[in-house]
Amino acid sequence: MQVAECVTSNVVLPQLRYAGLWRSIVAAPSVKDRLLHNALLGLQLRAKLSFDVTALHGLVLLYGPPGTGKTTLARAVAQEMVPYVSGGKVRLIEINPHGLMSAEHGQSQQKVYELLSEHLPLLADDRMPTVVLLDEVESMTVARSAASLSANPADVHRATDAVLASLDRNAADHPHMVTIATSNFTEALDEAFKSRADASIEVPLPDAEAITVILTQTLNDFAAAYPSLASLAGDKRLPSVAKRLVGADGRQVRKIVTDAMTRNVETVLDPGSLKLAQLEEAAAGLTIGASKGGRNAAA
Amino acid sequence: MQRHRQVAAAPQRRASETWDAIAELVVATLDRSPHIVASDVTAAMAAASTVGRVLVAGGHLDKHALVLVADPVYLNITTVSGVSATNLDEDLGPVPGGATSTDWTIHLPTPDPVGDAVRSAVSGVPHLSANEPPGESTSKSAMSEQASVLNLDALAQRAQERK
Repeated sequence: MQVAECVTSNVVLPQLRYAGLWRSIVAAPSVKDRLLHNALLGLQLRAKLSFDVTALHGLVLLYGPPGTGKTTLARAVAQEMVPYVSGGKVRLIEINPHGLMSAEHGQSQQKVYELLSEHLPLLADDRMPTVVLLDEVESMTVARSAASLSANPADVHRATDAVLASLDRNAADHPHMVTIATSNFTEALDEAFKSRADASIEVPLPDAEAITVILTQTLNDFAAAYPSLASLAGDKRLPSVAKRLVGADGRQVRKIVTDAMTRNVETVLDPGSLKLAQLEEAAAGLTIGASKGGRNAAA
Repeated sequence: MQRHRQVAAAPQRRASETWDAIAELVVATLDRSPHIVASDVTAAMAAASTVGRVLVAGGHLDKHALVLVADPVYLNITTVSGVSATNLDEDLGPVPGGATSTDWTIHLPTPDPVGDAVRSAVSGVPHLSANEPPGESTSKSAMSEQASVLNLDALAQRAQERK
């Protein structure tokens, strides 16, 4: 696999399809603010001061359970930064690192270094503020302390070295680049990688209040096609449904609406006829993963 | 930003082909800049081609780098000859940083016994030099961005709106 094939998206923002993304993500304001502020202040400081002074690598780590919106947050922050950067444009580059790690034996280190130290800086060579989204970063930064040489090829260990070397190089050479890495498994991440993060921000599962907001938002979005759902979105009993969903991730909560519609053929024929009782039934039937400690967690 | 590129020479390439590969690397790197005319770069590399082939053929570039200084690019180019050339994993793609280069100079090495020939070949040719390259500048890297990266007024307004 060529390194260029690992770049799944390379766009200059603002773009219409990213508009509203930031507001649509239900996360604590402190999480969003911290991410945005880190990205902006990092750009400013790294442009004005040397790495020796700031020790900033331009790396933000978003971690938390799957389905909590980490990837969406990373995409959205690039668009959110637009009004606050000189020039009013931000480039967003998305990387799928998995292909690199399945490269021929002995090639991973070289490919990782080529991607991060050569290819990405070339894409951002005009020095426009650039957000690089490194999704599921644990696939390329395996904790060397935990990985055994017998179970993991040496290539895996060396790939981690290559990521670290690239981060160090880009920190000084490309202060206009900000890398946002996401991970569901921080335990699997290499300590040296984690220590290079300028900020490690937890994106937790939504609480009951946040789940209510997600349900309301989802129903209102459905109401664009099925207007009668707007009244269900405003139903004061939605928080009771939300309480049943504590432990679910945001993605599961959104899917509950469709799941509830499938409970009766009437709502398949007319989704706009969805009732609160169907939502309650679907919420009661949701199996929440054991790792999340949910109400219906498997023993 | 300091970079190093290795180009396979004999027996992988003849001296003229090796020089052409070096020239293409330099042109491709600077071609990304809107401030640099590509034909000027091509002309400079062509003017140096005779002595460049001599440097390659004699193995001098194996030990002494040709250096492209085009702030923020600081590119060392060396050649690899012999058995190592046959399995060298080359990266001849453009070097990051070229898009914002404005001024540029190619410093050719002057090893014995070809030093005088190099000095003579580059004399009076714009953008070619037989002098030692300067130390790497940091003028376009982290410390020198005088203009604010941020739109501070917009950020201040955001803060105001949230109060």
